[in-house]
Amino acid sequence: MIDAIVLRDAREHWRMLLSWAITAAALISLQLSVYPTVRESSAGLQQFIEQYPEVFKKVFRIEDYTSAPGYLGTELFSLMLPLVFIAVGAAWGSGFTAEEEEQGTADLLFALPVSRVRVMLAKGAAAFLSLTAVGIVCLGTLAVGTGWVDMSIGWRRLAAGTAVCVALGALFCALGALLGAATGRKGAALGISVGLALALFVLYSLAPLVNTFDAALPYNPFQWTLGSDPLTTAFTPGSVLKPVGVAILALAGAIAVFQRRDLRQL
Amino acid sequence: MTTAPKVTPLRALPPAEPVLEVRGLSKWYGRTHALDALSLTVQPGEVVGFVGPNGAGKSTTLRILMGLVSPSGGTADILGQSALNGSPNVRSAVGYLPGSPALYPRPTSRECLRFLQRVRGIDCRARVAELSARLEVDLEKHIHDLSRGNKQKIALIAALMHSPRLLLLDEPTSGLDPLVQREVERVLREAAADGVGILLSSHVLSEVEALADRVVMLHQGRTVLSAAMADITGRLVQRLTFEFADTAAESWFEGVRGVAAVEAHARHVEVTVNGSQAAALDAAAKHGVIAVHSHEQRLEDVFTELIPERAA
Repeated sequence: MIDAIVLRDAREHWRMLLSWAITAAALISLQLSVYPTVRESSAGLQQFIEQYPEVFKKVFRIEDYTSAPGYLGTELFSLMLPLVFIAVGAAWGSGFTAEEEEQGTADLLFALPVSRVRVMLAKGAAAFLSLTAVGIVCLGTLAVGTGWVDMSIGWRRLAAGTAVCVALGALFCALGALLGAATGRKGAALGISVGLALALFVLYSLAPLVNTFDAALPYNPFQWTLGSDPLTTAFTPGSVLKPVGVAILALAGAIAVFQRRDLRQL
Repeated sequence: MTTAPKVTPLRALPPAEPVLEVRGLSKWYGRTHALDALSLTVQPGEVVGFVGPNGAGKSTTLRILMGLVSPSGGTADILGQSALNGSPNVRSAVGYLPGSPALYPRPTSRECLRFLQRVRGIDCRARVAELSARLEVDLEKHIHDLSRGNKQKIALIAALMHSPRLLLLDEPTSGLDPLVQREVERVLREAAADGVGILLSSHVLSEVEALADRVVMLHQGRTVLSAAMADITGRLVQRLTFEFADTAAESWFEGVRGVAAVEAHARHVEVTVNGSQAAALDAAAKHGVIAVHSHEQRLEDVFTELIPERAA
């Protein structure tokens, strides 16, 4: 059964989705196209990287740059791809209800014989399916691209890396939805959720250098996901289940807040 | 497929039971009383005019009834079920037109209305076609290309298409040209004749006068008038101006039945009459009146009498 609200929401956002999917695919292709050069100069490059200051290597988690997982981890999965999914998720989630209120369509939508809970769940499903679709585009590009440049990395590892990015996107999507439901303002919700993502990423990056940040790592979603090293170590279900669990809690919070709030009038 | 809600049929009401019953409905915003103990009923087939100056609480009332805003107190039943617990079941029987209707900008009008039908879990394409023809609106145009008036027509179709049993309309003819306004009035009369209860919030008092069976007037959230239109028009005072051949005297009308006030100016006498004009006309005829001009008071006069000028 295809839900009318899920379909409408997906159709409403298809331009944004397509743009981000193309951007992600282009970034992946660009980075992969450079890999043969990196491989050819692996000895020199590795020697060069070993001369980097320890602090720099720890912050950017650069250990093994020239191997396939090391290169993909440094160039794509440590920041660029997670950022794409966080941007898509936060932009979409912030507008779940706040955009409807700001453009005045909330009076049209929530006057229909459908509960606010159902609308929120439908919007959550549309966003999650769309994030997954962008994930599939990324995974497809990675699978084809790594084969093309003869990169030795299995599709399971690529899938695990992509899955943690999708999970991060889902988490910040739900956080945006919660903030949008509480404030009724998309701009504020987007700003705060992206700001929080950046702050958490900085805490995660600086954790090897600062003891306090290091102690907080078990509570940091970037540690759950990127810190699990999905490209080099065996996949741990917690790397996806933890952020998705928090996303479900945030969505439940968004529903609870939104149920109690008077809708803004245009 | 659709998000068709699992709707249990609303019970059939006995003929005398109202489609809408509001009791002591209040809404506070901080210290501001947006709505103060509003009580009203709408019977099947009845049109209740809901009038008052801007900020009187009319739109707030309609939004509370649609579950968009929660009340601070009071109750509201639609078709015998509480309208205040956000039940989708109640909303399935209501057609709502917001005061500033906004539609999804991307799709065409037809696609927008189809989406609303899917969520309602109904197919009313025939009614949509009929209404769009009567209101003269092209459903194939993109909504962002429509004029304000045409967007209003689409919002009206959205409120009417599913044959609701209660219509909550906030300024239904706003932005429409006079011909379409008349057509909307006809559509609403037909709906009322079919037993639909209508709560009609409007600034166009002539429209309320033409359509409403009863009028509820709000000012600063309080009800200042709630009466049948027939009672209001029956109670209204009328002003008559008599023209005589020679200088007239106020004393000719003093003590005449129904005459509330008299003012003479040379050959003219202005007489304010309550109820029947017969006695005043007889008195004028005795003194050789040569012309009579009547100035009937209208709902607008009642409005300006009851609402202080600054508020109106």
